[in-house]
Amino acid sequence: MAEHTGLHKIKALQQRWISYQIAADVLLSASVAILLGSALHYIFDAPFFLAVLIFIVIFGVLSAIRRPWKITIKSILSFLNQSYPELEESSELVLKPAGTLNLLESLQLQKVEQALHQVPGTPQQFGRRLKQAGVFVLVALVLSFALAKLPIHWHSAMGKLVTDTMGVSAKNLPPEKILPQIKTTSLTVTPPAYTNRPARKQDRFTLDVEEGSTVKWNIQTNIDVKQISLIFNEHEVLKMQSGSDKSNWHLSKIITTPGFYQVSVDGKLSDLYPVTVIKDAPPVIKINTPKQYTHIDAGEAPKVTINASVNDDYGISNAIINATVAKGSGEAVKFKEYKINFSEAFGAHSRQYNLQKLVDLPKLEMEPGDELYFYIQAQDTHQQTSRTDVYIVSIQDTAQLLSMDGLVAGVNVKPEFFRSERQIIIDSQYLIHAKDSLSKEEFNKRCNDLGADQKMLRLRYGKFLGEEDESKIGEETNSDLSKAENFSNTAMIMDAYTDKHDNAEDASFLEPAVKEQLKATLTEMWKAELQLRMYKPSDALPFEYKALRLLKDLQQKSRSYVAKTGYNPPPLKLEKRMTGDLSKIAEPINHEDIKKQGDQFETLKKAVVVLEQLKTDPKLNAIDQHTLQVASAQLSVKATAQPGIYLPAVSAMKQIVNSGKASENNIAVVEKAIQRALPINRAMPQSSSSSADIGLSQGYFKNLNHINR
Amino acid sequence: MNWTYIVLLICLVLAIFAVWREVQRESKRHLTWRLVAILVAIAGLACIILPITYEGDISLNEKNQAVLLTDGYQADSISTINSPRIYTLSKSIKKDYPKAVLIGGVDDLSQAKPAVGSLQVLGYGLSEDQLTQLHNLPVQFHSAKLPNGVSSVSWNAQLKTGEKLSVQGSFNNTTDKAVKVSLKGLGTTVDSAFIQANTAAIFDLNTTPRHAGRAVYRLISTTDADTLANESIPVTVDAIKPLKILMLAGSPNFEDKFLKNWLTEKGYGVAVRSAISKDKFSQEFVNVEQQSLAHLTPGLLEKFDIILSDLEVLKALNASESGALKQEVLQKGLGIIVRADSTAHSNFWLQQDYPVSKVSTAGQVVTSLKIQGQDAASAKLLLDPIYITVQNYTQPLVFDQQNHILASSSLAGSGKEVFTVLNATHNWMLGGDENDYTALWSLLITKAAKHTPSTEQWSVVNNVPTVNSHTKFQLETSAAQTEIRINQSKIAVERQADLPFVWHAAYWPQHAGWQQVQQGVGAPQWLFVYAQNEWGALKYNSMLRDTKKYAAAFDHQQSVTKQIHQKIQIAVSKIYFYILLLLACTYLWAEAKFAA
Repeated sequence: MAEHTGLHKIKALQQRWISYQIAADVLLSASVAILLGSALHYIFDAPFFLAVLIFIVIFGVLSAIRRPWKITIKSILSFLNQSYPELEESSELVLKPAGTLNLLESLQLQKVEQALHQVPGTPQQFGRRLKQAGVFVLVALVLSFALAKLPIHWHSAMGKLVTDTMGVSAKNLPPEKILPQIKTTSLTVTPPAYTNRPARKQDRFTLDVEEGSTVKWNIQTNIDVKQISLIFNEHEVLKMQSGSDKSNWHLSKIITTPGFYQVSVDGKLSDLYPVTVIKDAPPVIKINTPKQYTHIDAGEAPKVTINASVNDDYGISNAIINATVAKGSGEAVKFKEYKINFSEAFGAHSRQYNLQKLVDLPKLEMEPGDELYFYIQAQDTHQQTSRTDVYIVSIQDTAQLLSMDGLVAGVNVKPEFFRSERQIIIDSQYLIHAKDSLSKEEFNKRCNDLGADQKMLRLRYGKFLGEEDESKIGEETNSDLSKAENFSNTAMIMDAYTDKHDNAEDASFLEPAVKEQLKATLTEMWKAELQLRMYKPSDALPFEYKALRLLKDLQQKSRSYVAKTGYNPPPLKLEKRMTGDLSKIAEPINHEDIKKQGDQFETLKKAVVVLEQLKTDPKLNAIDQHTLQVASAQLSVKATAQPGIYLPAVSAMKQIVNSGKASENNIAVVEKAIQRALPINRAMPQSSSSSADIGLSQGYFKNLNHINR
Repeated sequence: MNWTYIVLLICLVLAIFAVWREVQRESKRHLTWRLVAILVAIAGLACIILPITYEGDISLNEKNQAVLLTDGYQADSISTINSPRIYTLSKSIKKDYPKAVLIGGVDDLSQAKPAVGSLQVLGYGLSEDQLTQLHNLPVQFHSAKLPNGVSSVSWNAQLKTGEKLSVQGSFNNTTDKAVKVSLKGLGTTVDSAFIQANTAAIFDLNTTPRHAGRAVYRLISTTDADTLANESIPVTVDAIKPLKILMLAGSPNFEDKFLKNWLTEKGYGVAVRSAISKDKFSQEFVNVEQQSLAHLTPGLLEKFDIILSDLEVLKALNASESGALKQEVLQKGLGIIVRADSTAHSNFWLQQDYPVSKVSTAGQVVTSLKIQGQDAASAKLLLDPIYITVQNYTQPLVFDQQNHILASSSLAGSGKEVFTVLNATHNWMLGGDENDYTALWSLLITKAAKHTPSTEQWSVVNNVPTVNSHTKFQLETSAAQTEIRINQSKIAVERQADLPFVWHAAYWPQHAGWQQVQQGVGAPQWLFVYAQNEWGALKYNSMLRDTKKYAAAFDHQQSVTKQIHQKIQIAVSKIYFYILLLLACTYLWAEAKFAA
């Protein structure tokens, strides 16, 4: 019986340990999931169920590593042996069947059973990990709470972490001046649907809202008032509706334009509160590949991978490739338009998409010589569209390259070997075509032969550049040299055994630019030969084409054009010639007066003078007051467009005009705004004034003139 | 002198009368003594009334030295000077250094007893006015270090619209921190410069004012958060009076057309005469009255400020036209802008200062221009490689990047001539670059424009006119009689003897800021007066300079050798005569009393 209880106890311990381990793992993965999930949610706007996913993954990984269910009785026993010295390292005896025990063991077993009784049901060590995990969860909860409160936000358009300015500025801004009758205010801002943002509440009058937002004001007053109205931009008066009693007022309005407003409680006007409108920016499209002009050489794969990224501040609703294929040339050019969709669906209205599209040009019925013009057009959730520049992809026209037009025109026919590059291309293409029907040896041999042809061609051109003529090496040299009469004929020996590639005649044979291009041609030929020698005619083809193109260009350059002369002038009327009779020519006279348009900033400039005078002489007369009033009106027009900049100046100006006195501070604020509003003056022609010297300098000038004479 | 005789006469009469009465007196006791006493009393009385002086030597030993403490003195440097007589003019110094005797003015020094032989001045010294009151007293100057702050400054206070305000000066920074000097106008900091710690450096702050009329900019020097100084920079921005320009063209061309459009759009008056055939002209008038341009006469040319033409057109003018033009330019000050033709050099009067060289190898070049007065290079322009060779008495105005001259100016008699090889500047306008076009043509036309006569010109003679101090105004006017009003009150004027058109007026401004000045019925003008506490360092600097100059002129050492033999009139103190009078009268009274 005693034996039984010991085993029972150990099994219970095993069960408990396993459950504790699993619980610790659950807590640990939960803490990680909370932390990551809240970080993603608050900073990157990821949905919250992502946290559950993270939890499952981490728990799976953790349990796969730790495998708590694999805790055996043996490991429990070794744990007990280590932790409880009273077991005397013999707890394993409990497992042994009673029959197999010898005397000593059974005695020891008795002792062990006793000791096992003393072992607590849950040893401290069991809970240690659980406690740690518990602490982790707490820390994670605190951190995620802090994240929720922190004004940090990932701005996808800018691609970096930004502190949420709206939240911060609201905290840092000085308190607004509100009318004493107003007890509480609550503004509900409902952003328009395209922003996909939830409605928010604020208790400040200063508005910083998305274009098209609906703003609802709820104002509670201390006492009952007759009427509260909001005055927008100094002319639009909106009366607020009262609720059940005369102390609850509400109004809603859709804000589309920036400006400012005032609250009027029974005719008493409040401060000016700015209304800033955040406009929706159109989507930003960036094409990473291809380049603006892409030229697909003959022999290259006629495919284009369009790789673009599209950003918007609220969300993208659609993006499309508009492609136009131009076929033919000259007057026979034809256009065909395609609209190519990206494979992505834009249902999620994400702020950013990385788009990719592989365009197979032959599928758009494009042939060599055709051009593809395309641009990407994107639309955001506010139905604003933007498009990229037009990108051009052209496929090289091999037909023109291979044509004989330039060669048979009868002008400056080049010698035979100029045609060989063309022949090599045709042969290579034929070889590629016939590859399947040829044996490998045959294919290689013909490929090698082509390489040899290419080499011959290269060497021939090399001659023009004064390169060594390889063909002579090893060849029996002039037999004349061995003749007796030529013995010690220095000139002849020198002629036979020296290279003559640096002689002056060769150097001046071609122009430097032509030489340069010829060298480039030779390089291409080298490369083509290399590929041919490696039995890769398909890889050699682009180099052959390039060599041919360069050769063709060379040919064009060496052409000259002489215009045909065959003009017959009409006969001169000799009786009219050189008579100088201009009597029939009228003298045109043109007179106009351009009124210089009135300076629209005249009032602001005048206001500056008044303000400057106010600094030293703080009295305001009626004329100056009028000047300031006119300027104030002009500033409030500006404030309607940019309330953030001009609104403080408008209220400062009002204080000056109303009180007739000006504080240094108010003047500075107004002047700063005027300085901003005034345009930059450009220097214009002017004359300097002479000094009022009753003709003294004129007298000097006259007398000096006399002396000089 | 009359007074002396009158006194002597009265005293003589009095003496004779008294002596006669004394002789008549019955009691003849002590008669001689009484007579002596009467004569002494009357002599004493006369001496009290009349100043009695005697000639004496002034000995300039250490005892006659005095010390004057002025602002900026170092307390520990007083101990090196061994003199018991220490004076000061400032209450705050008296508070800091109580041993010093506070005196009301420099004048008091000459009244000091015993007479001050030489003066040691410590600190920033005395102002010019105070120095004149020293009456050539020898001075040894122990100057203080240059004060922290702006030690010199200058700016163009009279601006025209679009002109750059440029405040330049030097700043002496004695602090251990860098000082930021910033120019603030209309509540906005427009430019700033840093002065490194413990250095004296120059600063150059620039801005183009956007406003019109009067304004006070501020020159503020700060270290970290401390404001060291906040000084006024008064500025007046005047509107530009549009000019009238006559263009003579050999044929209608785009360059003239664009220039005409640009000028007329800004309100300038332009008349264009372009030849369309032999003796046939197309005439255009914008913002000027219509008149026949077929023949250039002095009367016609007088109505314009500037003539703009190609050189070949000017060369082809007939004798009378050419003569009229030359007369107007050389004698009447008409400005002329000449565009070069293909001739490299000629003795034609408009080209003799401007030989042109052509770089034949190059074709047309594209280059950006450096225009005088503009910091940045202009946009690129396509040019013919024709350049002006520099000559004496010409001022180059426009360069290309290789410093070839493309426009230059010089005086032509009383007028001015601008010569340019630029003939396709309208490409800038075509390219939408109005800024460079404006900069170039504003410069060329301004350099050539005829002077406008001015009727009056106001200025303040003082360097830093300060409120509640003696301020001298100067007026230059062509008016024969002047009547000056400052802040609507009439001020007496003094005409300068050698320059009859210059008038001086002295005034004590009662408030800082703009002061309205007016001559006769002319338009009121404005002059600025600074507050008491402004430009302190600048004032100290000029005091240092003036006192040093004075000390050099009336040197302590030199004056010792010079004046050691010099006799000086020394006044006898009146107290002796009072005592004599009293004694004599006492004797007379006592004698009469005790005799009875």
